[in-house]
Amino acid sequence: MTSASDRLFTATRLVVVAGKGGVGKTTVTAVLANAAADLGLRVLVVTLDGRPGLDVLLGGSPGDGASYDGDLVKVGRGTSGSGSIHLRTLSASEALQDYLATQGLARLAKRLVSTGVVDVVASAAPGIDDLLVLGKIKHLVGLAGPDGPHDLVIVDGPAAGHALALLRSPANIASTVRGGPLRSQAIEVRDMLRDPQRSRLVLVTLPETTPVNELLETMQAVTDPNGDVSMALGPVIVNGVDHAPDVEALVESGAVPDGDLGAAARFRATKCAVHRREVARLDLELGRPVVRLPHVARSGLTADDIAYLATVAASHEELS
Amino acid sequence: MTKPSVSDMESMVESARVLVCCGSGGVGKTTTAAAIAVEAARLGRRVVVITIDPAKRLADALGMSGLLGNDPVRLDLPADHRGELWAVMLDAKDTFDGLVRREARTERQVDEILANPFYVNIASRLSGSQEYMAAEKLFELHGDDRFDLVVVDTPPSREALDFLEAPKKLTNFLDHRVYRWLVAPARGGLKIVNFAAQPILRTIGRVIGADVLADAVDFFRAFEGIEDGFRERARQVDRLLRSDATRYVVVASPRSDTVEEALYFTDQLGRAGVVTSGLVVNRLQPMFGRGSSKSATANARRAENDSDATLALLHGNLARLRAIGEAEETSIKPLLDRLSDVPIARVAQRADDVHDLVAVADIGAAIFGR
Repeated sequence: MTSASDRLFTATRLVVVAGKGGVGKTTVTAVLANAAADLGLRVLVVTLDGRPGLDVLLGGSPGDGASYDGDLVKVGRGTSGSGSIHLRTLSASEALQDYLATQGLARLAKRLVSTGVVDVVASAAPGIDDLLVLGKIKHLVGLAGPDGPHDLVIVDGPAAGHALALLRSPANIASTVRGGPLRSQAIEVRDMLRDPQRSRLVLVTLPETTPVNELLETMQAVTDPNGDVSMALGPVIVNGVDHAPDVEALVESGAVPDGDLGAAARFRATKCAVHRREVARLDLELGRPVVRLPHVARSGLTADDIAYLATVAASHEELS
Repeated sequence: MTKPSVSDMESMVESARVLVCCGSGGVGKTTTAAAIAVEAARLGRRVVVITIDPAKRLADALGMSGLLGNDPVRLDLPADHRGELWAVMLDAKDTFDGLVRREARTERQVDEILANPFYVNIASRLSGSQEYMAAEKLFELHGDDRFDLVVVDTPPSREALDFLEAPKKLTNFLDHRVYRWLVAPARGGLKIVNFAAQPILRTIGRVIGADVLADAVDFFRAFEGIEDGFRERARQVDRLLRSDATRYVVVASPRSDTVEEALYFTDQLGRAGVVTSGLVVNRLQPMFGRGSSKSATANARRAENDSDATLALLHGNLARLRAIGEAEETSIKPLLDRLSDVPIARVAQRADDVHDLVAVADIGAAIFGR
């Protein structure tokens, strides 16, 4: 049985998607946004590195309709038709300007940023830019709810190892900055990330040894209750899982010929076996099943592929 | 499909003094850098490879686990490799400390700078520091008589220029007017008065915390007098990065997003006046014969009509794998077209999740056409 608190989209207001480069983090962000919108939720997708492509994956064309704080991508989703997806990009300099504005420094903000003065001085406190971006996200999460403009915020986290640095920044700032508004901001953001009713982390990996090892290491680091992140995990998502039991059975039976046909069958069977082994290893380590997204035989996914993957994802209890 | 010009790749590697591997995350850049280094050593060169945070298994595969630090360590090679292979695992902070030690005038100045929290943050976290220290390490090893080729695995980054422009970026940082504001009062002995008189700094202090700002002021004061040495060093590093001795190899995988990034890298390098000297495309789907997915699909259909389920399954499977390969060809085509005049190496993926040393050998063999 999956209790209400295990259902990602309704149990929390913020989902941060993280994974190493090349594992398909952006794909998974788009899949989750679709799955949540299909449940009738109004989703705000936030992308941090301004990487192009997410809008295409979400199937939107800008200017589809009115937007409140980001471009409207999709409306009328889900059986009730209430589901929607908005997309917006957050940059460190924008977050900084907003922050300065809330400190009553709006007039100065532009100048401080454009002259680069802040860049230099902000280097004094590691993670200040990360913290301000998270502060902005916290603001967006605060707006989420039945009366707000959206129900759920999904963040396409920064690439590679930067995600850990981002999530660690509040604790780092809270311990290095001894007072002032920045410290209070750090503590508030840290508390948001540590509150499972507000924030969950979704880790993405590929069904191969090294990416799975790296995921397990990251998981240990971010969920350690005494660590500097201590976030609650949502489901782990394994991207690009190939599954061909008929081909495997054929290879197993020894009934494959030599030549290209046989070589292709053995290649596929070996690959599927590796994928199955790695997924099983993750299930065992996590003590619960991961979400398996099937491998789509295309190198550039389309919005239709994403919509299909979303229906697959939605069959997993935690995403239902 | 143009045949990859294998001998070109070999002669490029043979004539390079510095070889920089760039590409986005997850394309096998570290493995590619290691493979090129191993092959260069086979060709008789004395190679040092600078790796940045390699996955543990690669370190294990190269026999580097626990051994690697900021000083080059010599690695074991098969007997038929005439040259030498050394490796360094970049420690950006340690490299920065070394630079401070070299340029500082007194022991006291060294101590003051290294102990300053602002310095620690710059050295370990300032965006671009890691890139700059990779470049600094490269420069240092380039001048080391033990080596005649330095292979660099660049930090994962969207911007190729982060690496190329890191020396300039750091110099700009140190040249910044904030630096002058912070240091000028100290020169006049009027620090407190002038510091407080700068409303912009007071404001910043209010926002980020006065103690944080005080650390910054202390740092810039301690740093005074050695910034010229830093600037000159950065100029030399910059010159090496842009010289003919330094070759840039772009590493990509056939996913359409990494191809876009590779094109972007190539453009950026070109705009900076640097030529891309080679392309390595990793993890390609093997094609299994010369036929198309279409012909395999037709064969599958025919077998189905003949009620040969096994043969239909085999042809269907072949069709699927070829379809992936064909899609990959479509997505890498713009990159192959753009870099049609440089040596290109195509590396097929393996079905099994191999130990990385095998992957290193595979890539090496593909790059050098063995």
